[in-house]
Amino acid sequence: MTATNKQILLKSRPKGWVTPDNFELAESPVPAPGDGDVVVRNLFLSVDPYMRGRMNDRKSYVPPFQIGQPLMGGAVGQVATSENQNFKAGQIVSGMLGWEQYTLVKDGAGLMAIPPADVPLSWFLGVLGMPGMTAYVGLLDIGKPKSGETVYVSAASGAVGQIVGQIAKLKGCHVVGSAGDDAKVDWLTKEAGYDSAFNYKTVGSLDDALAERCPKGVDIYFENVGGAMLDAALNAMNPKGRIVTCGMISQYNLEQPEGVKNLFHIIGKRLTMQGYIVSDHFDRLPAFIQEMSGWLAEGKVRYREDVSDGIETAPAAFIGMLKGENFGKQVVKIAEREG
Amino acid sequence: MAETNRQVHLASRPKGWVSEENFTLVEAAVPEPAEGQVLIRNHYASVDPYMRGGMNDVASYRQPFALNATMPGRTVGEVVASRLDGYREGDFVFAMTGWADYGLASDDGQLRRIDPAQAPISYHLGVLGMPGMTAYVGTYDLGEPKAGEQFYVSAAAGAVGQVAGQLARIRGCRVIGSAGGPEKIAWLTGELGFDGAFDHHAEDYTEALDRLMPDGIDVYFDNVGGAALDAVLARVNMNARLVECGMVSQYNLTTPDGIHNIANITRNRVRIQGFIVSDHADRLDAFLDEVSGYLRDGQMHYAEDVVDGLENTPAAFIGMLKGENTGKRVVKYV
Repeated sequence: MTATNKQILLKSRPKGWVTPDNFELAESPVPAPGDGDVVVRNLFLSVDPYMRGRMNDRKSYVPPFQIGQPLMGGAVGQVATSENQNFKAGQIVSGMLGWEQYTLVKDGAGLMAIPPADVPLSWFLGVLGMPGMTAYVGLLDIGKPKSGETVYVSAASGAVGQIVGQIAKLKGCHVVGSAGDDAKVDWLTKEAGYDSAFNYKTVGSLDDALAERCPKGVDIYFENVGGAMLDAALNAMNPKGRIVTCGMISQYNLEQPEGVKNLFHIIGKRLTMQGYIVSDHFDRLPAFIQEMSGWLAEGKVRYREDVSDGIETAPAAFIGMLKGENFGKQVVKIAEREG
Repeated sequence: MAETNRQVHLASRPKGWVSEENFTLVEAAVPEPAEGQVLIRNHYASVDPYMRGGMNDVASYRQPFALNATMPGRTVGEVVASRLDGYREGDFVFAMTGWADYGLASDDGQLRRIDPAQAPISYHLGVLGMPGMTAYVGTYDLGEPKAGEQFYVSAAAGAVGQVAGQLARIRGCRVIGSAGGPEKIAWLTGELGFDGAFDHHAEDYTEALDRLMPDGIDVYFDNVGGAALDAVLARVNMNARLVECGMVSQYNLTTPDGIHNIANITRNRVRIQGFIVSDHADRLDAFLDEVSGYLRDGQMHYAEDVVDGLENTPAAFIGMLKGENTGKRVVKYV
């Protein structure tokens, strides 16, 4: 065990775009567990778009990060020391842990044991974790795809988008995605089974791109982006279409969000636009784990990660993810598993 | 029977605001019913916001209205000649005969007999007709209001809004409405029993909603879109429902207003849902039972704004789009 605990603290709240100056690398002693507590040695951290909201000082579905404290997020780790009878040293766990090498978890609250599995541990932060379940619940329970329908996914190679498209294919849909890089677009059609994909940065007209690739219109738009993309999708939607409003990453770093102009289609086309958060749907966890594990084992779902190495790289990985520089689900590797 | 059948035709498609020049008054012979048709003397015609969309030549959930033909629309009237089984001279009916003295109707799924003893026949253009049912389906089936929730309805003195607000009040919500002009505001908080109302000409939506809805908004029944919708999105509570019934503030704009607070849909798990009442025809009987009951026992009030004369239908329609009516606007032909 190292003597010190490297941490990434929130130094200041961003106005507009997040910058490296908003973070601070610090060192503190490795915490010691009190009665009932667990100290986790973190192995992988997840960086996700929703964390941008927690950097602001306003109420949302998760409370804001605090200045001078480590940022928090989904993580996988290994129990270092435990004063809790439910956890023992060496055990692999997941939970909401800090951007640091070691996290003290009071009473082990929120920690979950990860059973032995044939997949990389980091996948529990992605395809078998919150992003995968976000894709599963959003597409199946909110989007309710029917065979033959057209599903359009923005940020399609991201943590959630790549899973959405593959589940939609398994349900018999025509699946179209967009991403901001030609290599990602290639990967979507060649590896992730998308029927068609385009680079939204170089395509010119989003309206034309959608009309060409979705000749029968769009029945489900899985929204990860917002802004101009949402306006184009509203134009392309079919009557009774569903917009699964998972996120709007293009807007999170703008001080004044873009104005969306085509919402009138919600009335003319009787659209439903539904925001949701995966934690409201925990009753679906067993079904998700069972079905997704099966699809992975059978090779029906593929998964791509973008792994950044070292706790020091967490701010850059996070900022890069917000800019779309990651190719696949962005995670930060903190340490190797022991034993 | 009059010798001629006066009709208001759609003469041209408006760009931006509708004007009376988009319409012409045409005189034609009173038609004879063919086998399977009734001839109806129209007593009242309805003017509604959806008609503005029908005047455009764009695909929507309905066909655009034809040029140089009678403006289609909902009417109530009296059967004056019948060659349709089940209908006799003297029957009062609801039909879709449009802006004309007389019209023909067949058993097309729209035509139905109405009971003049149950309520004034014009009510079947409003509280007991399409606007009332729109309010019923939108408020109860889509809005799912629960007792104690914060309910806001815009264009609250209009045909749909007044019914929506009262239905939410009957379910135990705290109901706030907005409308244009102090008389409408007084009527909403007085006779209709709203918990609060504001004049959107006199006060910004943002200020008024901060003042009247400090606990946020759980259900918004949207009839106007634009700035009201943006202000609501900034104030939605968790799991709020936005019922998208209309966006009357946007229909005459060539470029719609940008809505900026839409990321709150994700943040607060908001559902925003458009609908058309004809998709919910299975709810007709429940609607008529429940709402006619509320009218009879005095739990619900209903106001009409009656304009006289077929020749005044275009002006009545344009005035309704500008919000000059208090209550459901109908045009009296007889």
